[in-house]
Amino acid sequence: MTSLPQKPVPMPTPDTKEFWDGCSQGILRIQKCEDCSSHVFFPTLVCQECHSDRLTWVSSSGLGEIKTFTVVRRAVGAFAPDAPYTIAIVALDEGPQLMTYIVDHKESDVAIGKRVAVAFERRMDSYLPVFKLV
Amino acid sequence: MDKLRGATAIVGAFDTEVGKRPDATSTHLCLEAVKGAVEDAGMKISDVEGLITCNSQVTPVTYHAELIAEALGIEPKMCLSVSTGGGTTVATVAHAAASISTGMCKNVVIVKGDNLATGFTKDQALASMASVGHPQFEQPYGAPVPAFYALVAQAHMHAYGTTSEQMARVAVSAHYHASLHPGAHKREVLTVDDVLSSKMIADPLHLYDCSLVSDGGAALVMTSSDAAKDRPKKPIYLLGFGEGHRNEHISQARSFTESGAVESGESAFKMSKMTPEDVDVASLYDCFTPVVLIELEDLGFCPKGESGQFVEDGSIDLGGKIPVNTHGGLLSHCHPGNPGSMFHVTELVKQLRNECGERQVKDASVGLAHLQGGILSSHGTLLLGGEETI
Ligand SMILES: [Zn+2]
Repeated sequence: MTSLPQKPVPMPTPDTKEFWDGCSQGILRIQKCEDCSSHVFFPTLVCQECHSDRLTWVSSSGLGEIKTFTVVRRAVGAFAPDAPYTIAIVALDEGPQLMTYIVDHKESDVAIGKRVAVAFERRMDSYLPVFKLV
Repeated sequence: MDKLRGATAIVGAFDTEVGKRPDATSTHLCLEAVKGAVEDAGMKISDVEGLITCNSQVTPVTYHAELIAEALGIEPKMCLSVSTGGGTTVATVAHAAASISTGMCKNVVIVKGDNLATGFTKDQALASMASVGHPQFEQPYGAPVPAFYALVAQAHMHAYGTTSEQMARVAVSAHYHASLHPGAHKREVLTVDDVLSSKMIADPLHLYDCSLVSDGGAALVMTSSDAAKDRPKKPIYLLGFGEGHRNEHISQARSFTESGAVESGESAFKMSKMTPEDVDVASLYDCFTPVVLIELEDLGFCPKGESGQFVEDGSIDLGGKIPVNTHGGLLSHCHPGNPGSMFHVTELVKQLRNECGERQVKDASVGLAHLQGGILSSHGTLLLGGEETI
């Protein structure tokens, strides 16, 4: 019995709910350390720089640059029909990095070091952060 | 750590037949490997005091080492199932050395086996691939496993001008070595053009930049250096080990061109009182070709950024400066998932015992294995040597 594959949607936990709620509202929210001012992502309990537990949620500028990327030519499962698509690691101006899609671009325009801005893409009831070249 | 230098030795090593093994479950492969390694060590299964395993991906269980012990009909003093992916092999050798040296057990058998090629259903294989990466922050983007490593390859190309031809050269070397190994899963030689004309999976990685999916198992028997002298085969001493753990998720890596192999290699070289120049033969984790390039640099076999030229010059081929993966590695010998890295170590044992026939590195006396789990996540380095190196 083969079930039709579905693309995964993020299942928020108490630690990550603020982040995903932000995405639904069109805001990229990350944590900031009240002691050393570092920004932190993934959502966590302690600052990865100074290990303080005094973290608060703030809005990111949503701006950053491409650290690295790839164009997926052969995808698996529910993603197969989407290929080719561009996956990148983006470093936000605040510091933290995230995996994401680069959307609405000509393939040849994507490069390491290019500036990008966040956008949100709906999947079922969730909104995933994706980035566009600026 | 210095106390552990040369304190223990590998006295038994065995590879099962690898490739496609529809006749064997993962447990069967583990039992076959233990039996072979224990015989190689001139011991009996009933002599085994410590048993370290790694869970099966095809048929995962809660108490894996205990399951293998039960199936062997032994009641070990120590059972441990370790899970650091491909890096598990280094972790298990280090823990075995510590257990033997502290007197927890006189000997330890390390065994790993799995049947990814024939045991997985299609759904299981898809589910297993989809489970790589952070469930909320990575998996929703649908990166197949090669894409994770493509991110690393792309960064290396951008930073250092490494080319697809140079990455392909790693696969060519592995396939050539496997052609000299009678037991390898794939024994056809490849050219750089074959690699470059294979289908593109995720830029810049082609199909032949990716490792195999195989069935297979392997086991090692370790004991104290004193006890090792009574064993029939030449003991291969553990000279040093080290670990490096920078991140679990690739999106959180602080560098995409340098890995925890830096810390892992430094610790292992320091403990063993060796340098990269002392190494005669190396086994480097090779799930994808760019990984070998980064390891060559991070371990100090060539300067940062120069690995592309280094492999292009034939340095990692048999007869080259530092022959790498003389069995063919995960790219061509076999890759049954987590057990894949066991063969990197059993191959070193065979090289240092001078048992490798056509693919023997002449006068091999010091061997290095660098193994990693996850997406450049969990790194471990081992240095092994014959008695003359102690
Ligand atoms: Zn802080």
